Amino acid sequence: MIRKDNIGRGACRARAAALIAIGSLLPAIMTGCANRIATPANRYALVIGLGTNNGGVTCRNADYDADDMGTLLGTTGWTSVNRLISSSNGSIATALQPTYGNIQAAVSALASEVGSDSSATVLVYYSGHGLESNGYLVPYDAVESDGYIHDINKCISPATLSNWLGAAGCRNKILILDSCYSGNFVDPGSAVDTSPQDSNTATGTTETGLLVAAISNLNSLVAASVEREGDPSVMTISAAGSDEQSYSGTSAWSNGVFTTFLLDSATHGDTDNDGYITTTEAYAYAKAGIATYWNPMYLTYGYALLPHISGGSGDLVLFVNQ
Amino acid sequence: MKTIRHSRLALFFLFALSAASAWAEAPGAAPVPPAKAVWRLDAGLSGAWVPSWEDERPFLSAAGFGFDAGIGVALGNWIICRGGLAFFSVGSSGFDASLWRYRAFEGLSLSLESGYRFMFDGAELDLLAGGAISASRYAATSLVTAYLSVLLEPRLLVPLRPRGLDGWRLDFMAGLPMEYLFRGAAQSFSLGLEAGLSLRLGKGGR
Repeated sequence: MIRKDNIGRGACRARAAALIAIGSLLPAIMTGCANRIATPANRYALVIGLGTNNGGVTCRNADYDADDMGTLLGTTGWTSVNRLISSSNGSIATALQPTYGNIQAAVSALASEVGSDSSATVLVYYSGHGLESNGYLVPYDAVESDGYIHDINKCISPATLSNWLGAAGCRNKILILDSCYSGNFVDPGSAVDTSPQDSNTATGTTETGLLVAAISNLNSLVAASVEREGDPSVMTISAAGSDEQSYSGTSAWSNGVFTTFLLDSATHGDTDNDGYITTTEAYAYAKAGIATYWNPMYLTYGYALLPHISGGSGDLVLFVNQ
Repeated sequence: MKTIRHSRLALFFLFALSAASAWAEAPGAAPVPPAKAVWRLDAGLSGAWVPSWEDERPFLSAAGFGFDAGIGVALGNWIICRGGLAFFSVGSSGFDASLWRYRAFEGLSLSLESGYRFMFDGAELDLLAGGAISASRYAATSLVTAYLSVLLEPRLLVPLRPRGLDGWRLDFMAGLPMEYLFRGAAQSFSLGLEAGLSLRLGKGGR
């Protein structure tokens, strides 16, 4: 005779086994739900490269950075790519110099292309000089003929660029900066950025641990999450922290250090193999490349850097592998 | 807005407590065992479905998993307190039509719950409710956040009889952990399936 409680126990175990099976399959089922999405035809990019400034000031590889980035974007899911490049190489220099006025007009043109299409995506890429003072970007005509900047208002501040981008009536905005002190443009939003803003201090490139960062900022972090603090309106990736420089590489490099790895991320940065390289994936790939191949050799000279990325819960596709 | 959200939180707790009380007093409920404190350790693995949403952004879901361990004390049918520590990881969501998605995140959470347990035919059904504080990092970034969440979890405990545990009670545990995460601009809900083991410490009592 089978005891009644044994029957019940057997049934419970069978149910439990079924629960385990479903539980273990759930992540696979969820991951499998991701479908390939048609690349939208409302993705507009602007690349700006300042290989030379007025007054004979140069920034090695910045012109090639913008040119190569423009070419890459044109084949990875961007509808249109406008260029503003100053260069001693006549084949890549554009007819319009990347002056303050021309940069402003080009960003406004992006906003015009978007119109009222809130689902559009705009991208601005900049490679050139950045000032120690709040990371201001340096247009061609900000440098006078004597090689110096006399009026900082001819440079582009984070607030100014944010205003220009704000005119675009879309939710998806990407800003990528390969310039010194560009971390000033990165807004961590409701998060804390644990990556050092200057990698050349005594602590080097060491990042603060998760628990230490969370506990030491607990009040502000929890308050930000409860208050539903908004995400940054622009997804920004910077080549460097707010207190460190970005580098053009050695004479053997054909692009800047950060842009070299960013360009390479289009081919090797798709960590989840879904055919899309998002801004987070590209950032992570570039950061890992710099940490592996550049910083170990140049930290002792004070030339280390680490890219930064803005906060917020969202992520955007940067390159579509087609 | 803050007042309204806090009111909803309070209402949720009131609802959970009143539901537990109503069940406890329902006709046919199991007899109340002697009031002796029973301590239990538990650990489990879970998989979860995690949809997220925020203003002007679509509802997109992701998959997640977690490992959870805790210690609790029960007195009679009441689970006075259970403290838990969990590691969790939530993957990226799917993309919307504009190729935007929610980032993956991972981290640790510390939870505090209480609840009620129903005992029948050697098995036990626990209903736990509480809150948690979590520290997480957006995956592959150096961005750390911290947030609060509300928890609700029914758990079924089925006794196992392994050798070498003289007088101790080991249960197989299966649960449906639910969590509402106040993650800033984005809000997330997690519905999971959990399986694990629960060990009653000491002999006697239930």
